[in-house]
Formats: sequence, structure tokens, C-alpha cells
Amino acid sequence: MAKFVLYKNEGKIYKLEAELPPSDVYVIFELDVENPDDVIFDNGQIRVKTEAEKLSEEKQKKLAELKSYVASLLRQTDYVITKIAEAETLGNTEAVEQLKQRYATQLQQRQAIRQWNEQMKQAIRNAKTLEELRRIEIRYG
Amino acid sequence: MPYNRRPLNPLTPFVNQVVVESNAVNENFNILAQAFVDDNPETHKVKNALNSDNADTVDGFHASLIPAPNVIPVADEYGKLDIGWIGYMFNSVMVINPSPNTIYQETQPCLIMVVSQDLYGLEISPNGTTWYGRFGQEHYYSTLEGGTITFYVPKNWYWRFSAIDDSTNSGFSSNYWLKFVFNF
Repeated sequence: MAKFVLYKNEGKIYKLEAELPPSDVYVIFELDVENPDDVIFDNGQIRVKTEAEKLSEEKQKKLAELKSYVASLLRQTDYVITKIAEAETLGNTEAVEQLKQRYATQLQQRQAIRQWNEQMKQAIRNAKTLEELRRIEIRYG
Repeated sequence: MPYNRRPLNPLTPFVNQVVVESNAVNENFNILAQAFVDDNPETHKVKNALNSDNADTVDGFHASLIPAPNVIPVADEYGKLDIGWIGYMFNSVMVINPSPNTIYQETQPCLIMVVSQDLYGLEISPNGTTWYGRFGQEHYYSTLEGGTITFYVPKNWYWRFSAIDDSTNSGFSSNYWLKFVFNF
């Protein structure tokens, strides 16, 4: 059993490890869970989230984490794309081909990262339980 | 007429006793009143206290250049207090591992620090209703970077944060926050 507080203006629930003075700004309550992420304020009702809701939320978090991670991987070779795009903008097709050959390794790496990203997204979406989802490690290579 | 400590003698009557002793009593009041500021006892302030045992105290406390229990500090010849009058700045340091979306209250003023890759939604509040801040930091996932967040929490204030991300290569840990409690 833990104590929580719902801030009415935020619609957000926090676990309470302190004594708050009486106020109309929030509502203090107790529930038989420990994690504030397990509690939801839904249609004016405070309740514990269902397993399906938790799984869905965790999937969204994992997908956001994956997106951020992949973006940081691609960012390291973004300069290649910029150079090719500049050559294309100038209509210099010869330069475009030269750049593609010079940076073939980096372009292949980017393609591999994108394929890995799609596989990871699918694995996250297919997870049936929280345990299965948590076992998915976001680490490339 | 001089001050007479015992002007009334009811057991030894004499002629015009009432008039004589009444005058002596009035004179006594007059002499006693002169001991007070403006010759007025209602000021509650005595003019002089040359022979008082505690004339060099305030509310019974003596003054001192040197730190000691129950004495009043006095500045030295340079107008400074002896360093011994001031307690150690920090009373203690402890490791804490707070959770996101949890409200904490500090019963003593303290300085809290944490190293993290990301930290979001850090806020402090004097009363739990008005929140100040939304501090934090964010670093690129793959650059293995982190940063330190340090914040002061006044006595009895509340604080909370919404999310934290640890090191991606175990170069540091966000599970060990340091809390320095001020000696206050």
C-alpha cells in the first residue's frame, strides 16, 4: 500500500514520500501498488492500469527509445547524405556517382541500421508480455 | 527631607502623625522615581546600575570573543567573528536513489546532485502546490555523454522529477545521488 497524489490541473499522479498540507489543488489517496506509473486517472476515476495498458505504454516508450537510438547512429554519417544532396541540387550527376562510390561503406551501414531498426520495431510490437518486452535490448551491432 | 526607609509608625502615635508620615511617604516616592529615566517609573528603565551583578549581560547572557556555550559573540578588532562561532557547513552526506514521479520533502536544507545522461522535469516547491523550475538535461544516446545536475532544496520544501536515463556505457551511475545536508 502506498500513498499517491493526483494534481487536478496536470491530471498527473505522483507517489507521495512526504506529507502535503490540505489543498484543493490535489487529491491524496492510497492504492495497493508501489509505482505511480501503474496508476491512471481515467474519465474522472483513479484506478490501477490493466496489464494491456501497461504493455501498450511500455511499447511506446521502447519505440521512442529505439527511434532516438537509431537517430543517433545515423547522425554520425549524415554528412554523407548532405554532400550527395548538395551535388544533386547542383545537378552534378558525375559528382553524385563519385560520392556514392567514395562513401559506399557508410551508405551500406546506414542501410543496415535501417533494416535493423525495422526488425526491432517489429519485435517490440509483437511482444506479448512485459517480461518479453523488457528482454528486448536496444543495442546495434 | 531625606529618604526614610520606614516612614510609617502606627504603634507609636504622635501629634499630626498622619500629616507628617504622609509627607515622608510622598517624599520617598519622589526620591524613588528619580532612579528611573525621566524620573518616571512607567518608563520601566533604570537610570544607573553601577553595582548590579549582571550589568554586563543581555537577558542574563555574557558577551565573549571566544566561542562558548550560552554567550553572546563579540567581533574582534577587525570587526570579524572568530571562525569557531560558525558550525560546519554540511552536517552529513548520504546516498539516495529517488524514483521518478515521486514527491519528496526535505526537513533540512540540502544540496542534491546526480550524474545522468538525461534528466527531465525537475521541480521544487515550498508548499506542494506551486512548483518552480522544470530543470533537466539531455545528451545524444550514442555519444556516451552525461552531465551533473546540482540543486538546492530549502528547509521543508518539496521536489520531484519525471524521468532519468542512466549512462549507456556504465561510465557513471544515476542510481547514486548525493545529498549534502546543511548544518542548520
